Amino acid sequence: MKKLLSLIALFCLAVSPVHAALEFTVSGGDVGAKPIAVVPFATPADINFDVAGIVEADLVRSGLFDALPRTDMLEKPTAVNQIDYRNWRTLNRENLVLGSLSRSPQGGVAVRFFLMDVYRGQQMIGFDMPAVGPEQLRVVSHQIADLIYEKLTGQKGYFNTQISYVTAAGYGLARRFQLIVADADGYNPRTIASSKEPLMSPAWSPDGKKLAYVGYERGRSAIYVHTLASGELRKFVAEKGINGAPVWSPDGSKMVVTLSFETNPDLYIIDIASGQRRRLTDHYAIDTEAAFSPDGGSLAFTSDRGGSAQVYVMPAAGGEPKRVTFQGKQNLRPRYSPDGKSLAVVNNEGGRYSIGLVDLQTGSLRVLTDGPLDESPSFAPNGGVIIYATTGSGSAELGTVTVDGRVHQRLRQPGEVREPAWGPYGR
Amino acid sequence: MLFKPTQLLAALLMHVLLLGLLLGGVQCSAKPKPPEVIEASLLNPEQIGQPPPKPEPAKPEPPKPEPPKPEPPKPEPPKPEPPKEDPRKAEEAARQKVEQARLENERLLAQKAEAEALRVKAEAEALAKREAEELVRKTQEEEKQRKLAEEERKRKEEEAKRLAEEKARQDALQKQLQAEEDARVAKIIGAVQQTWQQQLSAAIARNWRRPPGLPNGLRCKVEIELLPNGMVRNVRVLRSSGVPAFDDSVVTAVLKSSPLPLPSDPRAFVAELAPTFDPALLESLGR
Repeated sequence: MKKLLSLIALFCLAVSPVHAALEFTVSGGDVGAKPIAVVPFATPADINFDVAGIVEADLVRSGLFDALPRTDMLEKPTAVNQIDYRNWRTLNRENLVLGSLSRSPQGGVAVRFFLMDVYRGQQMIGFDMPAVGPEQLRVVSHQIADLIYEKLTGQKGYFNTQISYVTAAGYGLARRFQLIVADADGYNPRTIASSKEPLMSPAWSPDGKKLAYVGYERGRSAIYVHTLASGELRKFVAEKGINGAPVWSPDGSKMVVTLSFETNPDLYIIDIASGQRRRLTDHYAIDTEAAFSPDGGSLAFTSDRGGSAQVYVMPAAGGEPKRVTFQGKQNLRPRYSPDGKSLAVVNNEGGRYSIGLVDLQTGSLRVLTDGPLDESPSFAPNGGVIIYATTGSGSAELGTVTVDGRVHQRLRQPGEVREPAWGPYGR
Repeated sequence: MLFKPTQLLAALLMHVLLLGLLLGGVQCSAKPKPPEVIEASLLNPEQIGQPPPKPEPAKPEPPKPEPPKPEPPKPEPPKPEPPKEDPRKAEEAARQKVEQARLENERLLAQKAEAEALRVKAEAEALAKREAEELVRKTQEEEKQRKLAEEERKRKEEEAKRLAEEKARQDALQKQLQAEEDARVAKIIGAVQQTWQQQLSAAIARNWRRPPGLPNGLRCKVEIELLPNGMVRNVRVLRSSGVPAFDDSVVTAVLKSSPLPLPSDPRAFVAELAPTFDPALLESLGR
């Protein structure tokens, strides 16, 4: 038999090798969202909360998942032993999320959930979330989405994070600006600051406990630092002229801001504890909108020193800036991706402002959004999604786009929404 | 000497006595002998009257064993008797006649014995000769048989050799035919498998959906165990891409594709598949 096989094998070398295992290549395939189903959780009659709905929305917004509409479900199991996998295979679902809520004897509501592998017929996660008060169920839902996301993608989930943004409502004398902090899905908005004059450029401290932003008082700008837990507000810098575009160093000890009190707008680095500051750029052109690289070693910023606004990178300790964007009429407002390998920018090409992604290795720029007036890109802490402001049907709103430009989402908020900033992990 | 003279004498006496007894016995026993009876009746009627035991001849069996022995002493009994008889002439004539008869008898006996001896000798010689001849014959026969056996053996050996050669030739031919057949089958199987591979690849690729945002250049090799009906029994990652989400998309694609298509020729079926998943292959080929 062996002889025969080897004989065949010998003879077939020219045709195709016959081994114990047949080797071939599968190519092509498809890039797309993973088909899943999130079954409504069993919920006591007196609790009116849709955990599964929030989990599903989180997962779908990431662009990595495609959820089955509830009306298409052939069964709605709420426990593992109720699952008939054939139903889900028929519907081409690769994963299934199910669970239940129950009143805890100690008070509060406990959520139990399961993540199943439909084709293997196996449980991937089975988890009892600690009991919480009903007002915390939204947080618990985001935590569940994070656990599922991490299990299925291998990357840390970012649904239980926060965003901040600025809204403007009303006209003329009634116009009001608000600085808002909300859940990453746009829900649960809280007003941090409110003013008749513009509020701008919110920036999260690396620990997520503070927000720096630009406010105006009788037409004069200043940079404020707001401590979220206590509500304490500190006027950090208030020089003559422009005080703008604050960003925190990754270790949280310094801030880079744009000041114009000496000549024209240039970058300054300020030690937060001592207030000591140092000028980083000294150029007749405008240097602004700085961003720290994740390792804290470099600064990217916008400068028109080359004639038009482009993005430059320089050492954070100071040094010669180097231009990194070459495609498009203008490139503005850089933000480093969490892995430090790319920059999200506002790319202006023929008057259309889109969000673009610059590969720092190759210098190539990929446009992710259509515009026409997109601004303020900010990475989710896992780097998979960028949030930005866009002018939609008449007013500005928030959108997210996956870094491959494939999945676009809108977070509808009342009024004009601008300058989103995605907070760090943990809250 | 161990013997004392008295003892010796006693012994002698004893011997004489025994001899006498013996002789007396012999007389008694010798008389019933038929030839003597015939002759004695003619010569000595007294003697005839003396031995009354007529029934004895009826019982000749017990003395019979002895006759050979009494023969030598036979001449003696008449000897002591004649001297006892008085009628000399008749006695002498009778004695002579007896003597003559005895002599004649002895001669005849001697002749007989000689003839017997000669006969025995001749017979022995003949036997010996026969035996010798037999031996020679036998030896020759054996030699002949041995030679025959040897020839048979050689013949058989040659036959076997010839058969073996023939078989080897047949085998070689068979082998060649088999090899040609195998090659032909292998060619068919190879062709079928090539088609099958394409079908498998297409079937799995249809179900392969990987998550967006993954780096380029990922490859993953898995091992698929198939049941004869094409159902996937098991999938195992042989060489990971290093990105779990990518590997998972591959494994899921295989599981989703179960049952996989079967080859058009069952001989081409292989229970173990080892596909490599490479999204970029088409692109790189297209370039």
